[in-house]
Amino acid sequence: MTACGKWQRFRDPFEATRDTTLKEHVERCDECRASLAQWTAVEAELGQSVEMVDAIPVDDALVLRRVHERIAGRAKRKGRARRLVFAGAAACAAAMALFWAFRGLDEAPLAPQSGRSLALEGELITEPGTRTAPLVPKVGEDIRVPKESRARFRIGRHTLGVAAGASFRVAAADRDRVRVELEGGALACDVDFGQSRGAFEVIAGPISVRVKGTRFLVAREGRHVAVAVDEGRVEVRSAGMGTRPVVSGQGLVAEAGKISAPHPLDSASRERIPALLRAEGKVPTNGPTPRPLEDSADASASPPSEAGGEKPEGSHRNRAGDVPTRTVKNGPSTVSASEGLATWRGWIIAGRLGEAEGALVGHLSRNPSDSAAWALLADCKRKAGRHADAVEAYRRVIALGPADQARLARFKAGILCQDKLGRHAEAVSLLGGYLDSSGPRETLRAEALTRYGRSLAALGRDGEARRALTEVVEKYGANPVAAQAREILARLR
Amino acid sequence: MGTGLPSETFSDEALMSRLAQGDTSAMGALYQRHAPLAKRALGRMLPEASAAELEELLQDVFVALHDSAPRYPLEAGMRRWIWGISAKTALFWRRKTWVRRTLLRRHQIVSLGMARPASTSPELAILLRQEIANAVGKLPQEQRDVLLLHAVEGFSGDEIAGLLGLRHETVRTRLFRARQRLIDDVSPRALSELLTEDKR
Repeated sequence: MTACGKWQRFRDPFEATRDTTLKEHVERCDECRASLAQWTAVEAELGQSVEMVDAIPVDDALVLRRVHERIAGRAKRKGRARRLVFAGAAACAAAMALFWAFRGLDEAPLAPQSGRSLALEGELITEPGTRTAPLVPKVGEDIRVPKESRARFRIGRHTLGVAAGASFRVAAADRDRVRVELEGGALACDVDFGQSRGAFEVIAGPISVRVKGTRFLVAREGRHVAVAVDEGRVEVRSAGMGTRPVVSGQGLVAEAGKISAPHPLDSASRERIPALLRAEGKVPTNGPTPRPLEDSADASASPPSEAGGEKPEGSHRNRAGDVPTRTVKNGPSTVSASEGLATWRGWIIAGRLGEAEGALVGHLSRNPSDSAAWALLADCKRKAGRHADAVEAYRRVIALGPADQARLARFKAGILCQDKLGRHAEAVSLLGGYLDSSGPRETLRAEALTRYGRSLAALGRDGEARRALTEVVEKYGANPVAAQAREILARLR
Repeated sequence: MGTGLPSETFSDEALMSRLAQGDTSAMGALYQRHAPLAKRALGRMLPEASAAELEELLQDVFVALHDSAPRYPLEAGMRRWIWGISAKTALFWRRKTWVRRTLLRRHQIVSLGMARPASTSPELAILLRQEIANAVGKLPQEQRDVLLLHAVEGFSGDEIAGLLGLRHETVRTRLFRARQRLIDDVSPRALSELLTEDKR
């Protein structure tokens, strides 16, 4: 094995850490030059070497037929199992009906009235691990969960996790349809898609959330509704409008006549869904918040796209989560860009990073040249710990300008490259650009120069590092960063 | 069971969407389009599997593709999705057959250099490629997977880390070691022939 392996770093598989400044070293170092030449020659032949064994003899028609058979076979077995379960359930239900009849109780039996209705049962959960007496809901009955407890209900094989203080009603519960009407509060749904032939729907005022298979949460405060999806996808429909699909990891807010674009969920919101569905354990108190759509600049008075259907005229994409781009015809946009930026900046400061990012992404899809929005998005990603993405967003700002925003973006991106990503070559380039464009009185110049020197030292460019750090010590001696510069200089000597 | 929807009409996303809604006729078009990639992925990750086993694994990949259709993220890209499913299928097969392959000693690594070379290639190129293929075949499985994904399939380090569920440093280390072993294992004569060829 060669002693010097720096040529490998020169051809690093991760662009973020590829060190192109090593080119000079590779050209000077005999070992690296030879190794790189050998590898380049081998790599050129590698594809053809490997392709020599790619002709695997496979009967494609047979494989495809077997794939179809396996899929169909599983569906048949599921249907057979379902019939067995229902037969067993019906037998149990008949036995229980006889039992309750003999007991002479006035309550409606837990067993379904007919073979089509689904069994309803529930329980209150007061503390983690503590369950109180069962709660037996009836179809059409208003249910309010006490503020000190949460509740968990079963509708057949579906599960509802209901937050403390929520109120709802099970309007329909049979094999063709399950319909839950939410008056207030939040409930999470775990839908067993094999249970019902038809829809599983939660109605929250004028908003309908219909399951297209899986785990989601609906929260309502008055006329404002928030939807979050943990698994699968749902359709959100506002009265008088089309539907908007929301997929796993997304959320949105809605009210009558308006639905926001889906935005990425932050982890706390997403965790609330499975936590509410569990029988035990604490539930995070924060989560998707119903709020007025005026807070979100991506509110649209236009109907959202139909998932998988015809493209609305004038809009340019028809994929889940995309923001329709056609002009709002029923009036001006609810929020101007500057008001939106101020609001989103507030969200970022408050830690509502998922919502801020969703709103910014939606805004930038319509206004890709908004440098201030790119800068805000970069800050949002930086706070979320997605440093590489943040650097890319800062690069957009640098490309778009204006000069002062680009300068600040260079500084911030340079710091990220140095501190978080270890990309010293890139840090040198960005901080160097900042220094070239900033005057001697620039507030951040001392810090930028010190960091510039630090990255140069990390790259082995000791001479340049010394010059930069010496300038810091001589010109900014009173600045705290001068102490850092002295420290690095001392290590270089 | 025919070929299903004409493949030139619908995008991968549209076909996956139909599959998610229960329209299995979309499977034909998806198979036509992506079976070669899945075969390549399985063949390279499992050189020790027989042709019959690879057929079974190919079925597993496409059944898993059907099952994953409801959660197929539209921005994923089918190439990455198929590679991801193939990698998981290969890993599961390796674990399931570990006892048979290791304890019963029925495991034989088939060197990648065993195939018949293309008849139109010059003799020297054939020999060199066989030598490289043999060297690749001798690499440890985990190094070979990363090397082939990067140097042959063109996946970036981030994509490989995502596909194989590895940390970045692990991907880097395996790739660096694979490259170095390859250089060390390919004979100096072969390397010098390659380098001389390049300069002509």
